[in-house]
Amino acid sequence: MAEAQGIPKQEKNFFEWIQEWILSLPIDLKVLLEISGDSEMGIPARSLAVGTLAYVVYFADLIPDKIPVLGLIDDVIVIRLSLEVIRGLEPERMKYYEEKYPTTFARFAEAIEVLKSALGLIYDALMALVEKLKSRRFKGHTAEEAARSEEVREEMFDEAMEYVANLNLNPDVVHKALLEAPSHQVINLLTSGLEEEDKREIREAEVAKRLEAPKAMFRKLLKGKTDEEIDEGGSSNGL
Amino acid sequence: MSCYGFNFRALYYLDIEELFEVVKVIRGDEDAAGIAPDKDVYIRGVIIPFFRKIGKAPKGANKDTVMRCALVRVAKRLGVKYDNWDEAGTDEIVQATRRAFEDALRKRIQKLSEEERQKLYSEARKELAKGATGLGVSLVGGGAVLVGEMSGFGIYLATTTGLKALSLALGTTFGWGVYQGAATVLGIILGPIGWTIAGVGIVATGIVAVGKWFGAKDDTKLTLAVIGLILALGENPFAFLGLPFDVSMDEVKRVRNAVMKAIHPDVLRTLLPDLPPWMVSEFDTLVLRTQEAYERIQRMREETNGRSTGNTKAGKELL
Repeated sequence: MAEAQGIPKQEKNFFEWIQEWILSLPIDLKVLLEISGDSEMGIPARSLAVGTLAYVVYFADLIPDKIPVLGLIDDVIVIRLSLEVIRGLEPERMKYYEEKYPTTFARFAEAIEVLKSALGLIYDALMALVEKLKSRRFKGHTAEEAARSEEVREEMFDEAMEYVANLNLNPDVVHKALLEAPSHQVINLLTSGLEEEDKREIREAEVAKRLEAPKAMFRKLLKGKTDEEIDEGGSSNGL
Repeated sequence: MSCYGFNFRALYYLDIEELFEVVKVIRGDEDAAGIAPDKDVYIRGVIIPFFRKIGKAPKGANKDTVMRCALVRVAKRLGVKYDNWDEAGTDEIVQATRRAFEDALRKRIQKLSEEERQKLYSEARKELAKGATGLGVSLVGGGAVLVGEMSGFGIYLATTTGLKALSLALGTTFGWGVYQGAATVLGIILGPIGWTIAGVGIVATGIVAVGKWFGAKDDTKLTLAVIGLILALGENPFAFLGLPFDVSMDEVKRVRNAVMKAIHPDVLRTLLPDLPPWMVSEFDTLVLRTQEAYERIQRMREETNGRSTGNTKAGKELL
């Protein structure tokens, strides 16, 4: 078995967790969708749920989704961290979800501990990324707008389900891919993903800076149009 | 209130297994195996996107329009004609499609030589002897007795094993395997009762479709998926019993019992021994359809009474 080959116990556990999370991805996305439209929750929590969904379904990830199975690891981790943040924001209301979706929340606190110890420093970097998700833009919307618009959420629901259906999450395939993946490869993928993410942010900031002057000019011309409306014409949101 | 029909929300009435059979038609057996077993994933993730792609719905159309476009496309394929399609109600098109489909299949069966047909029947009968009785009981409860009495051809088709036998007898495996999935669903959803209504029709869908549209892969799949859904959704049981959608279960039960009392074959045979056989058979069918409608409503009510928790918003909105 794994221990016999000198692989530490910790690692084996981590991959078992990951496998469980990948297979529960469809349900997790539904949890986020439901939270995003939950009128009993505050807008920050709902926006974060939307941002997390957008991260999984739309954004260029830390680990590209085109790498089968492993490409989902960042997604399932981000989902867990995001749910942890939402738990902090809305502890009372989240009890309802914990009861309703036992597969997603089974041993949740333990899962977060596993993530902390397995990821080390990356954990904080990922947490910082998650915190930013609620303010990211996608498809011409802010996460908050999407949380407030039933129409946008319905569209996200459809696209999230189509995304999941096309992943072909065959339990055997998932299991095999994870068995073959050395943990340092996963950590490397995550680290380089985070570096890319930093670069992207810097790039976006640069682009925004460069666009400042032309935008000001446009504003003069268009008078009354807001920044968002001007943004929608561009593709600076990374999609 | 039109809450039941060939529309997006009605799909949530179907069991997950039923939906999976349609998904298998669309994706193929192997591809479907890796899809998460979840109604939302099947409906929103597979069925609607496929209909959107193949059904030629206008860009940005909502999901109900997408379903209607797919339906219209299949209806036209099957030779259904309307002067003005825009004026035809969806339910009306569903019925016309179902009829056209049955006709096409009946014709296909008729084209078989006498020998082939006999072989088909005998294979089916053999399989039936093996296990249909048990299956019938588990499917329709008390209704099984009635079904047994009918001994119509439909009953043979109600079993998976029966279908396998038919496919062997017809000597075709191509396309049939694909349809068999949907056919199994149908057996389960409609029960043997439903099969007797649809009759021989359903048997050869795969064969007709494949024969007629060989090569048009996606069109064939669309036809099979749409027909599968039409049959899976069945008739609107409320409309059949002449009841409003929000009727109480007690009322449904009363209506069913009244119908049964009035037209049950045993009663008729005692009261009117000279009734011509074809009329008895008509009444038989009516009894079975009544029972089917009753059982469907019962199932829907059980489901909406919170037995299943995994279904999301859209499922619940049906309430």
